[in-house]
Amino acid sequence: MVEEELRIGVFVCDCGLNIAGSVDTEEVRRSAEELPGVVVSVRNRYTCADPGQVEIKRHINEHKLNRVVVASCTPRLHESTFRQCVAETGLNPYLFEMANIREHCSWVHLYDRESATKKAKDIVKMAVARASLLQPQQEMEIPVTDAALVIGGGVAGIQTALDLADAGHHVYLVEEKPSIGGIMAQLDKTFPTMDCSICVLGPKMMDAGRHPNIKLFAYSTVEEVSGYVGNFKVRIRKKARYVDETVCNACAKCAEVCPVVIPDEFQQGFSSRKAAYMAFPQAVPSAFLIDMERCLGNNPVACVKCVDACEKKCIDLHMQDKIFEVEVGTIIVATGMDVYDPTQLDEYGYTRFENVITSMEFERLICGGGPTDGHLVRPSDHKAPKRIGFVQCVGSRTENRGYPYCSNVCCMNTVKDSLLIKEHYPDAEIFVFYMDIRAFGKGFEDLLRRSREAGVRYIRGLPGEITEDRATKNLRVRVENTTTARVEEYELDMVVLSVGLEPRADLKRLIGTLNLSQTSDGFLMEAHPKLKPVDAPTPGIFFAGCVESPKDIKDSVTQAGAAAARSSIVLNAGALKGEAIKAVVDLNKCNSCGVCAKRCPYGAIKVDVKAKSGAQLIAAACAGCGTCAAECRFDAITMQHFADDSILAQIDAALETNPEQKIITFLCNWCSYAASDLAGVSRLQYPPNNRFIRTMCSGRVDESFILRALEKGAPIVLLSGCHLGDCHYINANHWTMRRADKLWDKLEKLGIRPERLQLEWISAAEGPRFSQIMHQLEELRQKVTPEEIAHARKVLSRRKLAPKELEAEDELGDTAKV
Amino acid sequence: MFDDNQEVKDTRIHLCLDCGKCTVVCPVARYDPQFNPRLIVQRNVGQNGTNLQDETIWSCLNCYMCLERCNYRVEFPEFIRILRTDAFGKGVQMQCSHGGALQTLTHLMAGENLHQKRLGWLPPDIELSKQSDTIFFVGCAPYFDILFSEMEVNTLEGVEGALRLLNRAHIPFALLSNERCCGRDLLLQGDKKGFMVVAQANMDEFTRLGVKKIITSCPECYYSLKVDYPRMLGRMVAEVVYWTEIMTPLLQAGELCLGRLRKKVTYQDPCTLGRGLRIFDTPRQMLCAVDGLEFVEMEQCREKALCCGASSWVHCGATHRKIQDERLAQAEATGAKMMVTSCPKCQIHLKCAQQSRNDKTPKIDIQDLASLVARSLD
Repeated sequence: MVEEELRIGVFVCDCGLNIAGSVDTEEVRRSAEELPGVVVSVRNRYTCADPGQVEIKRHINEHKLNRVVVASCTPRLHESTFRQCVAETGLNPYLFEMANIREHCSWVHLYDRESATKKAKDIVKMAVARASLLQPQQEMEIPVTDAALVIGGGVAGIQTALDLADAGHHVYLVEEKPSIGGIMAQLDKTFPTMDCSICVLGPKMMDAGRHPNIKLFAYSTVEEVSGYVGNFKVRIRKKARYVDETVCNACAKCAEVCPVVIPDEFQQGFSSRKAAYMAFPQAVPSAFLIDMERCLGNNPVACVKCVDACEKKCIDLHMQDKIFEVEVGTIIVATGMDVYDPTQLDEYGYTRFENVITSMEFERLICGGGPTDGHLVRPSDHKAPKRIGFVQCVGSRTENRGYPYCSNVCCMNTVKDSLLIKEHYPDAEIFVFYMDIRAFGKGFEDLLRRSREAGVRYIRGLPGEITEDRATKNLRVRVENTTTARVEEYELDMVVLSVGLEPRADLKRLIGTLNLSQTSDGFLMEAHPKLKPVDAPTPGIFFAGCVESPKDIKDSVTQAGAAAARSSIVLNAGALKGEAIKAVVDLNKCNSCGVCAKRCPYGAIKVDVKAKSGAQLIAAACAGCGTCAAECRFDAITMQHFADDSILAQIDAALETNPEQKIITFLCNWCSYAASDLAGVSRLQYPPNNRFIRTMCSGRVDESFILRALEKGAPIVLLSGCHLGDCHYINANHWTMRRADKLWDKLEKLGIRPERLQLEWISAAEGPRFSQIMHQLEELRQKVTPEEIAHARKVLSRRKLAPKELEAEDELGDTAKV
Repeated sequence: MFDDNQEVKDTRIHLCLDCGKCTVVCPVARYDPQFNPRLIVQRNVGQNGTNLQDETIWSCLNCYMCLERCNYRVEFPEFIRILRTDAFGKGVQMQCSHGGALQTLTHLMAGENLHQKRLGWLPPDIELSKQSDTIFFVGCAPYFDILFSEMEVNTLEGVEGALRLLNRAHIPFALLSNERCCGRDLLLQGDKKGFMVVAQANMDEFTRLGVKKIITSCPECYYSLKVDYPRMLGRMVAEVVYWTEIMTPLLQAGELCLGRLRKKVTYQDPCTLGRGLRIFDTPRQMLCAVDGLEFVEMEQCREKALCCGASSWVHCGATHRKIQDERLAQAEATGAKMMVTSCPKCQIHLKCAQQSRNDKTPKIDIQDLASLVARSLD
């Protein structure tokens, strides 16, 4: 409990014109002076900048402040900056609170200075009320396992693994294919240097395969991950190769004798392989394997030709999958992307016309290691094509079958391909049909110029249809040349569809395993698109390569280095300070009912219901979601830094004046609060009637908070959090939903219209939707009558006097983890 | 400003990437190099209103082929309609086909205190349920047969066929004695005021008679009642259904049986019904439910179906004739003896094209879906 007198300092930021442009910051500063406990209220132009921080420290010392409130931008941006600043004066950083008057106020109410200022004053009032009740907290130290897991063995995964290994850390590199290398291993040349792709990648693959600090798990998948940053436990399944890779010398005799012939997926189906095969000559590990799905069978064993032929006797048709459990401190996701399949674009005839191929198929045809030894021939008659067309943006930049985003690499890939063809056939006529040529990177424009100089024709217009001449198998491409505004017809020997990149089909499984989020394009979401481009929102997980968004090799390698560096910070620390948001059990109040243990998504609470010894909390495993505190019927659990009283104080402060004008909204830190920030950053305007209360998780929101808001006269309460299945705390929002269901029943019984409690799941990417919901809430608010508000106030204040009901423990049959 | 206009914004015309796919797939652009949908956008967006010098805006067939292929599904036909409305409002004269007879007809129906004798064609064997709150919207079929009698158009037979099938399926319906043209053509031509008059008059009738459900066999009336009426008038009092959509569930449930007809047929997807309202399957299901009917698809069918070559009775010329010839050639190439269509206008335009063709070319029999299917019942 706070013994000494409260001395609160309020710092109102102009943020240049970002806040001062639409909020009267001087008025906000002045009104803060009148709040209880505030001894000084100051205004700054840029509080986060050095002078601003110096001023905060000066005031703390001068006025002996023991609580600090900064009214500026979103805490998701600068909370840690200011906490650091405060800590430097010796004041506990958890005695600091931020009032978001930018993303939540000045940016979304640009044209209503009066309302924006009123709202800003309220926000500061709420923050001061909360600050008054904050307690100093100590961050606990968590030891860090000095090892990293890299999922995905493409160029990004390989580079990350090498960087981390060279820095002295242990790395587990898990790749699901039999060999590392990824898509880069399938390319012929890379732009803009026209390097041979596998020649550049091969040595890196070798290094990764034999680095003393890298343990390579090829033909393996990550099955399960548990734990938290610094302490992840990972279960890896190494699939049976049926060949002992440590003994195999790649003599290829098994493949020679194997009777099963299958299309070779590495060669895009243009040539075949056997069931006993090696993915490609430069594969790492350099060993064969048996494709058991296609093998004639091992139970019972149908054919032993490979076993007989193997000199080293390293084929074991009864090999089993192996499970490995490893512990790591960080995880880097580098699982790459898939390539768009243009079959559904019937106007282009892919799979119906033999000589229409994709850019990936083109890579194999022109590659020296390809099915035709690098002789570019067309599929129908194996003759050298003389007239070749490239169609750009296939499956990209469209809402009509395909994806709306630009796939980044296809323009330069085609420019490169055009030069490759000219190398082989200087007299070939090449046409590139495009909407825009994006040659933005280093050396790109130069390559484009070379292509033009070589005589490649760039025609601005996308073909509307391709038809085939049945006799010659030539293709007729009809396109409007938008530069001349004439429809032109080209007869071509071969057409290459420059297909886009798409997120991997099995990404959902990985997302579930690691609790990640997707951006609207389907790729993985970064913690911050500009400032934390390789961090996942979950601490300790990083991204590299195309899993985060389409990009070329250079950017993948750059990101890989970045992910390795970010990872190193964690691994080098030895121990991490966890944020001091943990649950604390008051054993005097605990009834040992066991509900909290059942609710905790992390299994961080253990309760012996029979022994009645009280709930035992494992602080290191506690993630701070607050679900246990909200579910505990005996008020025995307190959330550090998000205690009940600090939240109730914010509700009271918000609704002290004109409550009927205000909507109380609970936002969860990871999703809906992020969405509200995005709406602010995007300057999406909405009505100023909302007052936001931040919790780490929607699971924290106790029934009593909502009832308090209605009791104090709020017309509408919005409870919001992550989408079901996407909860940052695994499945805590599942309990939020159940709580809301029960509350709706309760409200109805009390004669309060259940629609006055709204529930919305909003993801961090849904800025526009957030703004829409704000508009909808205001419409709802206007329909709530004064009589309804008065009735609720009366009924709920009377109810407080009655003893708290203890409901029977519900059957937990529906607690299947989402 | 024209461009700030919400109507224009709603067409998403500003999302046009200038890729030119629309120009390639547009049937009009194929035969008329002067017609270029992409350039129409370029010429008319941000021009403070329609470029009144642009005469090509009247040649659009409203066939939705551009929208089908467009990356952003820009509503180009709707954009054309807005341009035409703007031009019409500024006094631009368009070329009405058939001497403006159809426009005149619709305008006649716009009068107040209108006393029509519209049901004289009704055969005695068709049962009406005067009390039903479901009506069958006939459309202008009775007038088409008269106007286009030399082409042996039989759109009325189609309506009668649909009514007989509804009777056979025991679906009760009434007919409006004071029905007016749905107004679709006026709206597409740019005469929004004219459209509003007939539409409001129809709406008043529906309201007065307590109509809750409207069945129709004309795709244009269907689109008009289902989409344009609520959009332009702000509300629609009744549910609007296309006749095949009610019939096929009954066929599948075995509650309605069709008869027998031995013929090899192909089906012309009307643009408005197909690409416009995504009804491709139920007309085909009706055809396939007739015993003995051999069904073959044309090369360009369903979402890729080729337009019958004319729209809303404006600007019909050599280009349109070429489109129609192409479509007839495609139908003949299937080897079918009969081309079935479920749109009276497709029937009229294709028969008109057939007439002007060389007598040596084989004439494929063009029939209405409802009249053909109804014939199987006898």
